[in-house]
Amino acid sequence: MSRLVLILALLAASSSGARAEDPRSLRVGSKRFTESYLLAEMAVALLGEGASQLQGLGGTAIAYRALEEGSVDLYPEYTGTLSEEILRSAQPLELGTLRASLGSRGLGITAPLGFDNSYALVVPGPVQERLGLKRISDLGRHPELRIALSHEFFGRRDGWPRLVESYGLEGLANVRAMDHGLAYAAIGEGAADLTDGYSTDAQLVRYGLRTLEDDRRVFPVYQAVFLYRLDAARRHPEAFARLLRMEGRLDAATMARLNGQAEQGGQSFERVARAHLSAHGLIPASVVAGPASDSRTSESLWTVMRRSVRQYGPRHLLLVVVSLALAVIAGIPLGIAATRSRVLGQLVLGAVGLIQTIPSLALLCFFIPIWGTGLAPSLAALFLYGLLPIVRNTFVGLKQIPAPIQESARALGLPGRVRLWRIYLPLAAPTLIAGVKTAAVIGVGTATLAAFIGAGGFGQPIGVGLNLNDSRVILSGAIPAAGLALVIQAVFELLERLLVPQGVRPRIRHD
Amino acid sequence: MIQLSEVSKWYGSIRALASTDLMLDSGRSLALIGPSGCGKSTLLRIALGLVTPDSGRVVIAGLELSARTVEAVRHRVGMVLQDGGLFPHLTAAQNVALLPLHLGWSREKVAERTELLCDLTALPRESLDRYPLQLSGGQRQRVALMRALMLDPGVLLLDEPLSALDPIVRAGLQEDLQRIFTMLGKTVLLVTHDMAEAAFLGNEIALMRAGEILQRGSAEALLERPADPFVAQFIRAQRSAWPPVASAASSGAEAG
Repeated sequence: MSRLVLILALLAASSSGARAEDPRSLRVGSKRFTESYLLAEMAVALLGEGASQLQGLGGTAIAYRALEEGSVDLYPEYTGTLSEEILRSAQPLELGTLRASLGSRGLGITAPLGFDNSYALVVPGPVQERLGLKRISDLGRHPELRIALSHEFFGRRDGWPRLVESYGLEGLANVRAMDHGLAYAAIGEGAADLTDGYSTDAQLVRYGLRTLEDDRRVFPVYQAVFLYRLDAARRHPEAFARLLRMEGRLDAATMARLNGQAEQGGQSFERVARAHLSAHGLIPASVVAGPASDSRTSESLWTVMRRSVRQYGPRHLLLVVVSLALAVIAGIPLGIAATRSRVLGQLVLGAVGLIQTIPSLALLCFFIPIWGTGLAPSLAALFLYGLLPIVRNTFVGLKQIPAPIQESARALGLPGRVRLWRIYLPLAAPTLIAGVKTAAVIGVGTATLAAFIGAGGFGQPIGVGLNLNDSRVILSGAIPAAGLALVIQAVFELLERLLVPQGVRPRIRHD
Repeated sequence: MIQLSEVSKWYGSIRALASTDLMLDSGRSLALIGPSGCGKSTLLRIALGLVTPDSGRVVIAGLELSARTVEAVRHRVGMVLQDGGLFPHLTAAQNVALLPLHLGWSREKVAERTELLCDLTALPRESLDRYPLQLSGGQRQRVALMRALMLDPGVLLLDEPLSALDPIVRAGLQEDLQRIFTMLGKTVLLVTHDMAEAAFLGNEIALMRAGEILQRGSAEALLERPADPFVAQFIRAQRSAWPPVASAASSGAEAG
C-alpha cells in the first residue's frame, strides 16, 4: 500500500511540476460549447507565439478550478456566472465590484467584449404560435410542455431553480436534463418543446427557435469577458495588451454568426476565430491561412479519424495504461489480502464495490479539490474504477482453488511465498487476467470522460462533436476508442495464452 | 515415530477429537478406521500441523511440532490425500520436482530420484510429462506417492489414498503400497473407511468413533475380542468384504 501512495504522490507532484516547467507559454481554457471554444481560439491567436488551448473543460467549476491552480492562465467567462457561481453573490455585481473581489483572489477580468450572452428560454416557432407563448410567465399555464434543459442550466442557482421560484413554475413536471447539443437535437426532432439557450446560439436560427421574454428580469446580465490570472498578465504584458484589443468589439449578432459558421459552416474553430480577427485588423491576414484552414465538411470520416488518433490517441492510451498499471499493482495485493481474513475480505471488497457505484463523472470531479484538473485526478479516478474487477477476480480466483490442492501445498512444507507464486497465483491466473481485461476495457470507455476535466484523450473530439451536433467528429473519437478496446481485448487474449499454465486451460482433458 | 499426547480439537461446540494419546513406533504402520466424522482425518492433520489442536503436543519424525518447526516437520513427513492433491498446472514430473528444487537440489539429482521412484511406484515413464488431468486416477495416486517420497521422509501420512479408485486399480495399488511400506521401512499412519484395506495395509488398526479411539489392536483382535459393542457392530457391517482379507492380513503380517 505504501508503495501505491508513493506512486500517487509522485504522479501528483509530476503533474504540478509539468505546470510549472514552462513559465513562458500561456494556456487558454475553454468550456464545452462553441462560443467558449471560439473566444479561446481568438485569445490564443491574439496572445501569439506559444499560447495553447486546453479545450472543453466540463463546466464552470472545473474551468475556474483549472484557472485557480494554474492549469490555464485565462478563459472566457460571463459576468453573471462570475457573480453567481464563483463569488456566490445573491445579486448581480457591478463590474467594479467584480474586479475588486476577483483581485483579492489574484484574478482579473478584461472589460466586456461587447455582447451579452444571456440565458434565454426558447421554443420552436410553431409551438409558440399554437400556444400563444410570449413571455416566460405564460409557461405556468402549460404544464404539458416537454422541457429539455442543459445540465448546467438545470442545476445553477441563477438558472432553472430561480426561474421556477420567480415565475411559480412548480407545475411543470415534464423536465429532463441532458447534454446541451442533444437538447437542441431533441427540439429539432420534435421530442421536446422547450430548452434553455443563449442569446448568441447559432441553433436559434438553425432550428427556427423563438426567445421568450424574461418579463420579470430574472436572468442576470451575462457580459462576456476574459477571466485571467494576474500573475500571468504580469509575466506577459505584451501578449495581454494584444488581448485587450478585443474589448468592446464583438456584438451579439456577430457572435451568433460566428457560432453558426463553426457549427454549420463546417469550419474549424481556429479558422473562424482567426478570420474574424483578421477581418477586424486585429491580426495579420497571413495568419489565417495555414494548417487550420481545413474545411471539415469536405473531409472524409477516415481523414478526420486519422487526425483524431494522432492527436488524442497517445494521451488516451497513457490514461488507460498508467491507471491500469496502478490498479494492477494495488488490486492484486488487495485481492490477496482479502483472502487472508473474512473481516478484511468484506472490508476490501465492500470498499472497492462502493467506489464502483459512484458515477464516473462524479468520481472524476471528486479529486479536483486535491489535484486540480487534468492528468492526475483523471488517473486517480480511472485507477479506482479499475480496482473492483481486479480485486474481485483475484479474490475469487484464489478462493476457488480446491481445498485439497491448498492442503497438499501446505502439507509439502512450501513457504507461503512459494505457495502463492508457484501454485495459487498460476491457478488463479485465468480469473485474474479476465479481471484485468475487464478493468482495461472499462478504462478505455471511462477515459473518454476524462476530457471533461481537461485530461484530453478521445473524449475531447466526442465532446466537441456533441456540442457541434456533428456525428463525424463524435465518431472520430468514439470509433478509435472502441477500436482501442478491441485491441486491448486482443492483447489480453494473447497474454492469457502466455500466462495461463497449460494444465489449467479448458481444452486439456483426460486422454 | 509419531507421538500425540493429550491432543484435542473442538469446532465450536462440536468435538472433533477428545483428549487423545497415540504412540506409533518407527517402521510400524497403523490404520485409523471409523465412520465419517469420527475424527480420524482430524487426527492425521493435527500430526502434520495442518490443523492446530486446542491442547496437547505432537512429536513426529524426531521434532516437536510448533510454528517454528512445522516446515521442517513437513519436509520429514510425506502426505498423500484422497485425490492426490496434485497441482493441475504442473506436469507429473514438475509436481514431483517442486519441493526438492525449492530446497536447492540440482536438476540431475531430482531427475535421478524421480527415475528411482518411478520404478518403485510402478508409474509408466511417459506419464511424467502429462498434466494431472491427463492421468488416470491410479496414476495420479502413484504420482502423489512419488511426490510424498521425494525427500525420503521417515513418516508417511495417507488420507484415504485409494478410496476414489475402482476396485481393480485399487487392489493393484494396495499391493504396491504394502510392498513399498515394507521395503522402505516407513512409519505409516493411514486413514481409511474400509476394513479390508485397513487390515491389509496396517500392522495394527485403531477404530474411532465420535473423536475417540475405541480399540487399537490387530485385525484379528478387533474381530475376536471387540472392546465395545460399536466395534463389533462396525466390523459386522463390513463383513461382506472381510473374510477374503483375513488371510491377506495374516500373509501381510508374515511378510512384515
